[in-house]
Amino acid sequence: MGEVTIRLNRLGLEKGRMWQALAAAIAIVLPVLAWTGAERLVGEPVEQFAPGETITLESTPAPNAQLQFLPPGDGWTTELNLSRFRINLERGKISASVQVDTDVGSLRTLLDRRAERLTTTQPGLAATNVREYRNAVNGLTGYRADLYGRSVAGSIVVVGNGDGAAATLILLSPAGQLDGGTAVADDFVSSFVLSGR
Amino acid sequence: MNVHTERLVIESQGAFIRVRRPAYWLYVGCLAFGLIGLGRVLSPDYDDIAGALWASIGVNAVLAIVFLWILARLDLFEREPVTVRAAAMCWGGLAAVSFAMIANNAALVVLADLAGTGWARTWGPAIAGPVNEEWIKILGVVLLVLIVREHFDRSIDGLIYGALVGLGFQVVENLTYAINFAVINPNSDLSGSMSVTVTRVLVAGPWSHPLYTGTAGLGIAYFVTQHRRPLRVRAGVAAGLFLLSVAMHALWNLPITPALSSWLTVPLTYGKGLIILALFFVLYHLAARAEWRWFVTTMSDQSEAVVTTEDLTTMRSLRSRRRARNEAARQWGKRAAHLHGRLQREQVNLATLLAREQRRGADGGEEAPDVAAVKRNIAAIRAELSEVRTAA
Repeated sequence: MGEVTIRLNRLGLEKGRMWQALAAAIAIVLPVLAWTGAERLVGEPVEQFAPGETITLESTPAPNAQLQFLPPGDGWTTELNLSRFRINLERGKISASVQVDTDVGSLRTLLDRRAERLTTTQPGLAATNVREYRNAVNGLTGYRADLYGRSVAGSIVVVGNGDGAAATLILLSPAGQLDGGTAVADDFVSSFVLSGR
Repeated sequence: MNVHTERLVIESQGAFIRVRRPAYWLYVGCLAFGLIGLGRVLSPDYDDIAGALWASIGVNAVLAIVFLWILARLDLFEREPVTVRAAAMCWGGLAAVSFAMIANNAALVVLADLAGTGWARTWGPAIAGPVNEEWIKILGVVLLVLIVREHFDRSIDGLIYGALVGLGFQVVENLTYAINFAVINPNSDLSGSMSVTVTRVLVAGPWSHPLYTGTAGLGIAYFVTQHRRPLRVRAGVAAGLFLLSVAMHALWNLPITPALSSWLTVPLTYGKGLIILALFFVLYHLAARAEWRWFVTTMSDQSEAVVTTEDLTTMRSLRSRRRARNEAARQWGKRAAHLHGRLQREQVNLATLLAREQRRGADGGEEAPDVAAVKRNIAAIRAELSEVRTAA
């Protein structure tokens, strides 16, 4: 039977093997450090929309539904957006999240799911006063609910084209600017061009 | 009538815990980091989508079982210890996924800034995914080498451990997709998680991470086991196979233009997968041939009572072994086939033990007790086999 003598260092670890672990540790964190370092160098890219610039979204995983819309007014910006189906816009303290979905079975279920998700991730926010909605400009129909929180208020609107394609708008603004926010929600949906299924 | 065989364990070959190895603590630390990272991803959504997540876990468990069964059969002459196999899967599923998520997200931001959002969305997964993920996954195999070098005897061991790292990665990556799609699905959590899970298992399942990391792992094991080859050859093979694993992954992640009709998209997708599968099987075939040559060399100085020339030929592949068992069943009945199977298993055990003795530089004098025990088993099985043949 073979016997091996192991020499230990002060930490009780095998002598002569620390460098291996150190090299492996450096190799493991190398891609993380390299990419996050480069990310810090490029900063947080913010895109400013030009007045009249149309945004196009496409559903995922199946790109069956498309949504084109125009943010109302000017001054809307977005942080880097790698998602095809959702975009988060900001104008001052007002935020708008627009998403397109395909194969939507029920607009009411979609509203409930999006509202539940929102209120779960933002404690203190509640969705109330769910009602049917019809946009006077483009005729898109669906549901709308009011959003109330300690310091924010807004609306969540879900509209569909009747063929399975649907769009969701979540608009939040500081409490006290609610009236303005409500008006903007209608302006957003008025520009929606929803196609596909 | 039953042949009683002995099993003597001389060293704890199955143990993965090596508290004196610094690399072991690095492994543990990375696993803890991975657990915390995945916990942060999973916990906010868990209460809402627990049912959908568990359904996806069920499907992925089936995928894992199928792959484990296949990998066990690919390992022709040795069954790797359960603890080390589990450690390989844990690295892939916990540490590698967590590190890769951070690196990939940052890489996509950088690529989007450099080349535009649309470009990053299309080409980012084919660049960031393969480079970051293959690097982090293969470091799991490197850590295993640093912790339990004794379990890397031949090149194929790296292929098996690499494939297990890849399997762990694939299962957990599938779960993260299931969570994301459960949340964004407009109709229900379950349909969101199951649609993406089934798609990923059926479309990407057969040619995914186990194949990429198995390829790279083969190179690592080649580097550490083929001492007779020059260092530059070993380093070249290891680097080449790592680059091949990155290329296989990149090939799978290459975007297919949405302008193509589904008549072309489906064969193109499966075509990419079949190329990856074919590459992997070529490498496996070469590794398996080397395995058989190792077996023949190791057993060549054993007496005919232990292993015959016909046995050496028969042991070449699982198919040739099964053919020999079927032939025995046809000539002398099922009992003979069963005994042939046991004989084959004992011969594999003996080769592994003899290789260990050769590594230790045993002088060929007194046999190790476990070697002697396996030889006694072989003699007992042969005697029983002879009786069965005579009776038939």
